[in-house]
Amino acid sequence: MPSRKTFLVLLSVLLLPAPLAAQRMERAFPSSADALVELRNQAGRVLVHGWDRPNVLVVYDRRSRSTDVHFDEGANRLLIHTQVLQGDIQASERVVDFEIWMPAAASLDLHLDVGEVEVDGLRDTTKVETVAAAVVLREVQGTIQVTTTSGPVSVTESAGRLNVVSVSGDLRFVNTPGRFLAARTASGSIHLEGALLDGGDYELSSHEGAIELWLPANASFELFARSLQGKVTNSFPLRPKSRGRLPPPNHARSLLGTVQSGAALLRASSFSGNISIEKR
Amino acid sequence: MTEESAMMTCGELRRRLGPVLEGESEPEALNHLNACPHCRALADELIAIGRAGAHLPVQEPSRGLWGRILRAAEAEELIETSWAGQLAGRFGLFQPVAVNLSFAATLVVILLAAAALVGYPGLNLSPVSKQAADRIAVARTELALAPEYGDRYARHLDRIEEAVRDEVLLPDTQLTLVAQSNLDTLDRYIHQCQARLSTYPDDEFTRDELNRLYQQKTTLLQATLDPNWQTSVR
Repeated sequence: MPSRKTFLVLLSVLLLPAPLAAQRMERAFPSSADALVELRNQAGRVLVHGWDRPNVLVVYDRRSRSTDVHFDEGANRLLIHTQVLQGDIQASERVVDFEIWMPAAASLDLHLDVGEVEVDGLRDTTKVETVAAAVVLREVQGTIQVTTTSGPVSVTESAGRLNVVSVSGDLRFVNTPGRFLAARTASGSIHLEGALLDGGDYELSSHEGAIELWLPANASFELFARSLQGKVTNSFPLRPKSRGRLPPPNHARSLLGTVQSGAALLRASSFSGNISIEKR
Repeated sequence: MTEESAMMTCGELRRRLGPVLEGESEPEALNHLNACPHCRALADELIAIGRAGAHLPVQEPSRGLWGRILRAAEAEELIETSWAGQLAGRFGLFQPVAVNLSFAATLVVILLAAAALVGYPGLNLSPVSKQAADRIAVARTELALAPEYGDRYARHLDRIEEAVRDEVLLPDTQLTLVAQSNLDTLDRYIHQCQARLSTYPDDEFTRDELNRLYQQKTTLLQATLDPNWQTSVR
């Protein structure tokens, strides 16, 4: 026979408003090393880690009972998606936080509207798409594609083929010695810091935001930097191109030339933002 | 939509698509097009191609073309001509006498194809082609085909924006505000580039930038049509 106290506790739990009843759950799935893990979430914090085990572990935390989490297992594919059960709930009630461990060689395809994403330790294909969520990638390799509308993107200690596009998000790359980097933002800024690989191809463009490059003093690259209305500054000894077409007069804020032996190709362009190439 | 589930199959529709696009009333075909996104996309692509063809300059064949065709046909022994016909051909006057039937049929096909290429009349938009999703598919296809033409970008962006306005009623939420704010930003930059290009039309740098902005705006507009996005903001 439950005591009066126990009864009151049980009653209070049952009467707890749905939004306050956060639910932390855990699911594990067997997975091959080259599987695809897809996550479609609307709001929340999503952490994804690569590991060496042949399975996927998903820990999630719903902030309310107004959302549900579904798992669809297919051949070599796991789709995780959240669903709002009631249409008229507040934004905070849509939040579902995830922490996922998946094989490092598996691919990730992640969509999150708002919140934040952190990914580390993956080695194959990582695709992240957000509306306003911030994206942080650490120690990720392989093919990396990030698209945000306004979310900032930060990539550190990662070597791969990077393609990052945002409308208004700031883009930051620190120690990303991949051979290919394409970064584009319309109103955000771009910060690139670290060494360039010989034979690497780096293209950065922003319409209005500043582009800052902090490179090692011994960096070797061909530079094509142009800003139509902003300033281009460079602290490296630049050997102007002796041949080839000179920039037209309306591109007066351009710097084209070779630093050291020109081992990497570096292109930076902006319509009205400043471009600076500095020694680290 | 699958082949089995429609009254008219996709294959049947495609065989009858030509007359439908030229304005023939075929309710079954229209029903199929309304229900089948794949066939709708195909129809809109054909309409877009027809429109593009309609904007090509009309080319008149040279006076000697027919004579050359006749001589080539004679060389291949496809036709036999009389002395008068040969003479007329040499002077650019068309008067074939005995035409091989297969050659005649081939010639008709060639001439029809040529007519379509040089002066295909603008296709009337059927109700089907007004589907929003199709406009976006067509716009995306054409962007991929001709990314260097800024005016085409602009035209297709207008089309997509219309589709978004017609099809998507975004409630006033955080995501909508984010989208609108970013669209406004892109529009402002697009206008900057357009203003500059009106002064410096050969400025490739600005043209490239304008194309990048068009691409970004297209992507953002398409994102607002994405079911995930729409679900999110409800």
